[in-house]
Amino acid sequence: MTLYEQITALYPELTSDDFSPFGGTIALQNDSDGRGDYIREWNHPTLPEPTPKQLAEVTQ
Amino acid sequence: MTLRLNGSTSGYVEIDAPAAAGSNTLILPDGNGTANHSLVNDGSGNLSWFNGGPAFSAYPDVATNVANVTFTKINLQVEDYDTGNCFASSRFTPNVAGYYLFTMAVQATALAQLAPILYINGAMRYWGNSMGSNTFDSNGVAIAYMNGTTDYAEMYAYQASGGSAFINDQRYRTFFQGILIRPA
Repeated sequence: MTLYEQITALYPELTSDDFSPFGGTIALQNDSDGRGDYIREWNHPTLPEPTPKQLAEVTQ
Repeated sequence: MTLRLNGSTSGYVEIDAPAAAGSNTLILPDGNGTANHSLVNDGSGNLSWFNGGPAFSAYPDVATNVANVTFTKINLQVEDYDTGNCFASSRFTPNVAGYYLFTMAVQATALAQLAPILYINGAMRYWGNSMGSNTFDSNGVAIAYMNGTTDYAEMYAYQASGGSAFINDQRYRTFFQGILIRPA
């Protein structure tokens, strides 16, 4: 399960516009250094940035 | 005042100063240089031979999995050329300050809204072409100033197909190139 899938499972109300690089409020990134995907920016006006624990629970 | 150097059989070469010459000293390098190198000034009158500056071209030897809407660095393990030894670990850190032309290409194996992105010093700087849905090949061209010491450039990719996509590792479809076009 990718980070994007975890986030959208936790917050089903998010749309592709929220992740748009032009005007969206959430940016995901992977620096290909073995650490995997991470949240680079979270500026959503109402939803709080999920914690690692919340994201981990989604995959269970 | 003119310094005239006469040819051994005929003619001469003169080195002249402007009418209002000020007080300037130009110091020549201690060698003849290499073919097609040019003399450049360090701003203090010290001249040196210049080879045109760094240039590189690199491509991946393994496909990169890019998750949906996730900016992902493309690792480029193979160098076609790296004239200044400035490309390492998929990162270009030029040793000459100036303006650099970058070209980028990425190709995905799945339907994707795909774009290459130039990152400078770890931050997004310029987007390449992103031609909507069903895009397999995307390219980008950008010019960026690099300080010649700490600034570095990397290529990332972005796609919004709704699922993951693999960035192709074929040399002629996914590559990152850069060249100095104007010293600072």
